[in-house]
Amino acid sequence: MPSVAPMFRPQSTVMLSRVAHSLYWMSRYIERAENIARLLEVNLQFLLDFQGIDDDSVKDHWGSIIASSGGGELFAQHYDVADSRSATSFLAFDLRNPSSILSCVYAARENARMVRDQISLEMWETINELYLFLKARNAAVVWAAGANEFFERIKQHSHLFQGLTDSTFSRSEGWEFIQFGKFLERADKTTRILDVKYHILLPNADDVGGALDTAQWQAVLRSASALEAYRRFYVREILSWKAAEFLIFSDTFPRSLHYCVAQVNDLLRRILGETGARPRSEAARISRRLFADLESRSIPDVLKQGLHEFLMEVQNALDRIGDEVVQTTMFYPVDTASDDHQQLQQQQQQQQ
Amino acid sequence: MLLRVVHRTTFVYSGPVRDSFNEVRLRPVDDDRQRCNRFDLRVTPLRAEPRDYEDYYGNRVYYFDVPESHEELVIETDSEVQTLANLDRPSIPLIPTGPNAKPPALELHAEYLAESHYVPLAFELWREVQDVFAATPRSDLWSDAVALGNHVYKTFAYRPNTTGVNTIATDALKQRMGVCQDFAHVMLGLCRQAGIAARYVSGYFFNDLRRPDEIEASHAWVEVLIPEFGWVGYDPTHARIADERYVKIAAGRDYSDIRPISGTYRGAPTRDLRVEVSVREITPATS
Repeated sequence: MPSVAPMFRPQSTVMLSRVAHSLYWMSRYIERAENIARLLEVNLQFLLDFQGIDDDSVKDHWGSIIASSGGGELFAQHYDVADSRSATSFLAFDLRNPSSILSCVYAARENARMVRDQISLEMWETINELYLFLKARNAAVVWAAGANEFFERIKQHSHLFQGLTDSTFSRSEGWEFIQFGKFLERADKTTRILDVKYHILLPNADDVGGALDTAQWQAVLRSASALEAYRRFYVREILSWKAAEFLIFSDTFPRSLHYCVAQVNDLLRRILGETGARPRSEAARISRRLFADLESRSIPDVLKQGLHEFLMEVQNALDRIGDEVVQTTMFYPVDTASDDHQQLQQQQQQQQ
Repeated sequence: MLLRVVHRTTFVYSGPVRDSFNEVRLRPVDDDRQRCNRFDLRVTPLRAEPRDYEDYYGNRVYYFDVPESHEELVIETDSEVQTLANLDRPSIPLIPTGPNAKPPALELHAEYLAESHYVPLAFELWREVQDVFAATPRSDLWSDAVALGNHVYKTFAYRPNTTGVNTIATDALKQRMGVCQDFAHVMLGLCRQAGIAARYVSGYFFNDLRRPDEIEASHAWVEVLIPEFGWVGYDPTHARIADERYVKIAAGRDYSDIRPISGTYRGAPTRDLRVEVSVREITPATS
């Protein structure tokens, strides 16, 4: 006889879509801010080392960094020359740039504020602290005091935030959205870090493998905190194609495209409830295709296609995955122009 | 018996619709009389996997929404169910209900004795109960329920298209005709007026005597509570116990608790609703 004992129902794991939206963007913006901070810090150091060298590729270094960040047009609207001061100003402090460090931290904090009841007190305090710190300072003061300390603080707060999330956020649907945002953003930033090298004027044939080329690739690896890990992977000198291979295909380095997309793919399965062998949603379809590419292709392949073209392809795929997930799980586009708002009942069928 | 059930419902709208939110109760149950080996739910168009929850009655409800504009919605299920063989089913105990019998305690099942939307506790139903037991005095719980079910079978005509999905038991009673949904509602009305806790069951049955042109559709019958034994199904449309040919999906007070598909949407009205059901036996040679 079926039991009629009262059943303990586990707490509902259903989440509001606007909460998912805020957690996702909070995570993305923090990751973005950290990546830009590291990118700027490494490249400022790089250019200090090469100060005085009259080489086109060095002079154009800042232009290439701004171009790969996707802010080329916006930068040109507000600044005349791409040098260390204007680039730092644009990429770190300019609120007119929606992807500047300041804009990112402000946006992360705003999203965190909207879901304050979902995140731990420590997580909130960390973001808020960073926000207040940035708000109180202006660019000139920081620049004078030493940009390095500034970037260190951004990175440290980001790491602290991630560590707190790891130890104080319950492993629920919200956790999945946070991780999804983080790895999606990280993959995107890695493509841009690699793309910096493309935008630099192609060196002369003699320069390939030379000191400048090597130093530039070293800067690329450092921008992803990958130099030491790369050296364990390939002990000899820094070869451009080996560095690119590492940052694209390594399945163990946590900032490589392969690793990040593997996480995104896995998280999507859980977020979208995709348990079948074949993907049902557009986001899962694109993600699995991208992951399959990263699993099976090789660096000669990529170089034949063109590193820049390959990176653009990856960026597009990542953009579409993000858009699709937002539209499927958070906010779908509403056709407000339509004038029939009447809600109707689905027709019922009589049981015969 | 090993059965395969395919159930496809197609909604064709007369124009574009959007914001469609739906719940379906279509998954065969797992209980001591059947086990659902496989259940596939396919909805077109759909961007994300349907999710599910268990409702108050223990029915598994799948829900999904189609926010984008569409003109057709197809909901298809494909299940494989193993039903307990007839000879393995335990025999139903005798619970005396004659003049000196003690009435069973049914407080935990009050909802199955109370009025509900499709089954009002009307005087006409009580009257009918008295007539039945005047002819066949009460003896035991199960036999009483069977007597009531048989009464419906004998005095009602099975006529499709004379009632609708919204017809309640008292209206069907007036007409004395309808389909299984109505037969079940009337039997429920009689049982409840007789103090027998009973519930509405939706599902399918394997019609081994089916003519090729006979319509197959989702079926409804009644389950009666035998205290300390459990719920036993009786089909008033065919005057028989719900045996190994019956696949149970959901149970509730009446049709409104087990709606196979229910939902809302915004936009044009439905132009066409097509339902196709097929129930086949899987024999070792033909799976």
